[in-house]
Amino acid sequence: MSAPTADDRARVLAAVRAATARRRGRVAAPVWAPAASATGAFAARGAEALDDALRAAGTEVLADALALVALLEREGVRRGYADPALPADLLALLAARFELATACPREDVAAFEFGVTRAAAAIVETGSLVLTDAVTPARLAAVAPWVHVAVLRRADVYVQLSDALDALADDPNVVLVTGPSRTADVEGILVRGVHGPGVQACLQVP
Amino acid sequence: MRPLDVDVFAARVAPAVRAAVRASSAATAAAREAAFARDVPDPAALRDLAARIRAHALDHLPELLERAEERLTAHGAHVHWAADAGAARDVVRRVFAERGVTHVAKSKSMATEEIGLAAHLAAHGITPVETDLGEFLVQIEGDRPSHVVKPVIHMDRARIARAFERRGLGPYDDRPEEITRRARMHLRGEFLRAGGAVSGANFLVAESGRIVIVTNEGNSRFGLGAARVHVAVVGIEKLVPRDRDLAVLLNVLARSATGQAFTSYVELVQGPRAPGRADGASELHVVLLDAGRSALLASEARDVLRCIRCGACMNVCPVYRAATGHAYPGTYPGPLGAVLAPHLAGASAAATASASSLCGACADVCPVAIPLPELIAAERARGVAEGTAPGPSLAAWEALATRPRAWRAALRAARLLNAVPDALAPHPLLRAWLGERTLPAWRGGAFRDWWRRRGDAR
Ligand code: SF4
Repeated sequence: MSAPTADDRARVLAAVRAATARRRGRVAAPVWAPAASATGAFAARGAEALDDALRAAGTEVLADALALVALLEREGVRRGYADPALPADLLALLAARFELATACPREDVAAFEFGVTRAAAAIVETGSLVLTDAVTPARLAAVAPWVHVAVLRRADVYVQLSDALDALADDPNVVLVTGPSRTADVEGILVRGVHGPGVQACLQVP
Repeated sequence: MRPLDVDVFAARVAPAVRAAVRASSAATAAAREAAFARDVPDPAALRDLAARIRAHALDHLPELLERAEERLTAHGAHVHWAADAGAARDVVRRVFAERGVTHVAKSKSMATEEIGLAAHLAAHGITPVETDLGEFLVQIEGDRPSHVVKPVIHMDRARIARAFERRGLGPYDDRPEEITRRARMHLRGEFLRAGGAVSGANFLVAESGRIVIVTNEGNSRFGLGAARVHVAVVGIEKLVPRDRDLAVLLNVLARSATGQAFTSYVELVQGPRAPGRADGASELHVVLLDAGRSALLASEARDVLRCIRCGACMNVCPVYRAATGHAYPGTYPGPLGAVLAPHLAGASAAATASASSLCGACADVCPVAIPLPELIAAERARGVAEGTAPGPSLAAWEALATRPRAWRAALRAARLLNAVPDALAPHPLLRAWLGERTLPAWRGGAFRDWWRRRGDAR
């Protein structure tokens, strides 16, 4: 019934070629300045607007490590993961107050209630956090726990989405995280925390 | 055999379901409009840019496909080509079977829906679990999605709660928070058990080989992070040239689909995980799916391939709102389905194409400026020519759309067309539907100009 895929490759490409070759006046690649794709109110204000943009997207902004502790206590979470590459004083503070692991084996993923990882960057326009495999290899620790805190260096900020996309390095997996996990599948009512975090936060460090 | 006429189906839709679909569609349509008004300085210019990016990609598809294949391969992914649905199903099954994968976590994908992948895997001993909450409900209910973005727009909380109860997910509880919590607990077990992950793709970037998967729930993020083998089924029309093109397309997609400024998780997958990493699939397989798309590209209806599956056209469609997505025979309902389904599923062109009032609302909201009414009219003409056109079922809708005078009178009487007086409805079923507000708000727009010109030309 179905042909081997090597044949399918030739067949599909031949068909697509025939379909496009007939076209007269093929549409040229649009040339556009970054401003043409800019949306929302935040990008125009530059990097300063990051906190407002994150909050608008539903991400909590944490001013310092104590705010992080306060958030975790507010959410009543006890067990969690923190990236061992985070600043030592932050790790020490968390370890003193919570049951903290610095590895995230698959078997433990479901037991972690919070995950603290690094973020590669943030985007002002969309209020997004950029998580890459290079900087956030513990993907599951950033998605499975109820609370995810991304630790962001203040310098790693892109103003526009197109800036961030222009700068993307090769990486097996990059995710732009914009607010908490959510669904509106039940009668259109917004509920947070379906498969990913119900609470998404960002801690900024110098 | 001809599928049931849409208006016959519509007359059988439970009033509560119709009311729910209408309310949800209208709410999303309003949110979409508000999002563009609030966030986009020049919506027409952004839409024009999005349309040109997609049109350019379609015009250069052979080069872009080869480039994407080359980039993906360079990053360690396996690229497969599938001329038809059967070939695609076989490839996916073989990949999993040969690696001993018995459970796969699926994230929402219209392409896999279109090729009937889940049933095929299940028939061969590979258990597919839908992980998008809506798709999970569709699966445990043995139902069909009725919207491209909101698969269970037709289910109310009571039905959902009963479905969960039957599935053994706890006693009846219809609170949305509790339903969501139970889905979270149940499905994370499935994610961690699954050796495989299946996804579709919203876009495939040629210059980088990145597959783009957007979700609000984070299910693809979890599924791809936990699986050993990831298979992505990607329609060959999904190509865009550069990563930066996504800045335009993602911005219009989120706002058009839900009225959100941006989708919660935009995942860009370029290859298998790096050696030494714990999370992420160690194998990535990309199945490039034709299944009618290259023929569509050669046809008059080619512009529909620009579609980014935002669902906006169905949210504003009066026929969709009244008849619900299940009235359409293919995978894709609404105005999009009226054009796409006959080409992809090989169904009767006319049966779905008739399911339109040709009111033009869909063309006004489409973020990539697909001339949907024009394409629907062409499909309908094709159906007539092939002798498969249905009876006069939707003549009433057409009468409203094609008689500018009646249309305008209705407009004036109803103030901006949010309601048409029953007396103006020339058809009993239409009259029944119009008991509530079904017609889209008048926004002027290019379609009606086009329709007028078309009328003049005759
Ligand atoms: S046809 Fe246009 S409006 Fe409809 S789903 Fe596709 S992109 Fe969205």
